[in-house]
Amino acid sequence: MSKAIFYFFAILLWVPLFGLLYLSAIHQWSFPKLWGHSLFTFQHWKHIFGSEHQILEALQVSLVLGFFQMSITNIAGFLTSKFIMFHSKASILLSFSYYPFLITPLIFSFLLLYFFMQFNIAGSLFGVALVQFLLFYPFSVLLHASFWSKELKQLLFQATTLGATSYQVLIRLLLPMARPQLILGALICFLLSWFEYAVVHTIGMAKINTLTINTMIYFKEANPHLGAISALFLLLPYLFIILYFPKKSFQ
Amino acid sequence: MTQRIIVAVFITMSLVPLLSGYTYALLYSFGLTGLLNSEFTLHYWKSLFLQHQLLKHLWFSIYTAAISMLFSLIVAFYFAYQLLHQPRIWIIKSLLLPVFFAPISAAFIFNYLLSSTGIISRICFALGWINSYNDFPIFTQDKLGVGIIIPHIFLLFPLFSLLFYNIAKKENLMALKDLSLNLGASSKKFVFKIFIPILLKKTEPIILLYFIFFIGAYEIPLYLGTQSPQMLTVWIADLYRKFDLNSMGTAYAIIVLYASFVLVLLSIYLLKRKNKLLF
Repeated sequence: MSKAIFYFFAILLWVPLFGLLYLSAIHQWSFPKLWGHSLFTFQHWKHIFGSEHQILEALQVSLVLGFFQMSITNIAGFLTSKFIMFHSKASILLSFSYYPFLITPLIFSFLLLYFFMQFNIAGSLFGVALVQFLLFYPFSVLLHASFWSKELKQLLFQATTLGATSYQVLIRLLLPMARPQLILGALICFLLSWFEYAVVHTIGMAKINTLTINTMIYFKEANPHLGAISALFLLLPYLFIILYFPKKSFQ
Repeated sequence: MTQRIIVAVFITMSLVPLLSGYTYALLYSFGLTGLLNSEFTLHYWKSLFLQHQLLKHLWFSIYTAAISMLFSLIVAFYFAYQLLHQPRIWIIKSLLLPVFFAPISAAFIFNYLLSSTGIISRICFALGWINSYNDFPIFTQDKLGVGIIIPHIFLLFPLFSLLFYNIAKKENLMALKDLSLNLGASSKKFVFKIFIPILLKKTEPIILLYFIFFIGAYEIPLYLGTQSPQMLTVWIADLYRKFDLNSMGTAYAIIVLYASFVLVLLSIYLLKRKNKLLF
């Protein structure tokens, strides 16, 4: 019995996803009808892929921003975390990195909007990428800090003592060991940027159209079908994770 | 040398934008900078405290964050406990789904699920349980914030379930359960005296950080919240984006208050734990 209840709850987790799929595949959706005169239709999907639709453009912008955070912010955070964790005042330095993110992205972007307007980068893709960098870079440092454990530090010292050059330490030791950590960091930085709404909305000044902004636009237009498709595009990373990572990594 | 430069860059990147923004907001709220301001004034701060809005919105924010957190934790304990007994991959994959849900997608679909003309309401109508959409209880844009709390629970509890499950596996809590059962404790006693306290102790900083982050949640309250009481962030955004430059000063005053609130809360906590929050 308890098993059945547990499985039931687990299945409930899929309701929002099926809700989105359902909304994207119906038409003439007026209360109290659950579907229009034909059961399901792909007309909304065809409409999007048929032309240079704004959802596809938003997808591109979101991808560009995501890949920027995934590469630049992630690697910058990783390298910085090394120098911070080898510093004698590591814990104090690290505590600075909580503030930008915890002040919440919305307030953070309000604090910075004036300066971005002064420098004339508000409303540009560069401005949005920069503000996301300022927001996620400290977080990325924090994320990678746990990698530099005592054992690893000693291992690096030992390798150097045994005569490895710093290049060899990097290529032979550090990069292979850091691979899972870097992948995890890349994924988290990508998702943070991918899900971000408040900052893009404020600093982008309605000129930068990402998927999150697009979903909001359709919501305000009360267009459940295109909104659902836009929201489904936001779920693409999940599909990627399920397909890309082997079964073992979920255990 | 390289270390010094990189540490300096890190401090600049993480503190300078924040502090300069904070200073600008402070100056603006006292009328010392900005378009319409010319001299020192307490006008914005007075209007903020005379409106009696601030506390109402702050309480509503804390209330929704606390309730969402509480329920998420309860469900997460249940899931982690069940997962320990039946570690199924499909359940872990299902739990990952909400982790990959953008808050804005969650807000979008929960609005269409829960609203009085939404999907659930239509299913109830088709089954003959309600006769018109007026019979369906109001879950979105309601005074109690149910519409905000439900999506928050959906987004948060899977993350905590997976976290608890991993910690419980690492701490070998199943062996501890067998031991305590052998020594005569009931499973109920195990859950309440060992399982939950250990996990809470281990994740206390993360729970607190999430709680602070949740007070500032924005997308979901924007979609699914009422006009009054609003979440603090939605209220600030409304004041900030109004075409009235007078409300801008008030908005900056609240931003200063909110930022100070978070900075002080976090600093106290960091000092108390000697800066060792997560590692």
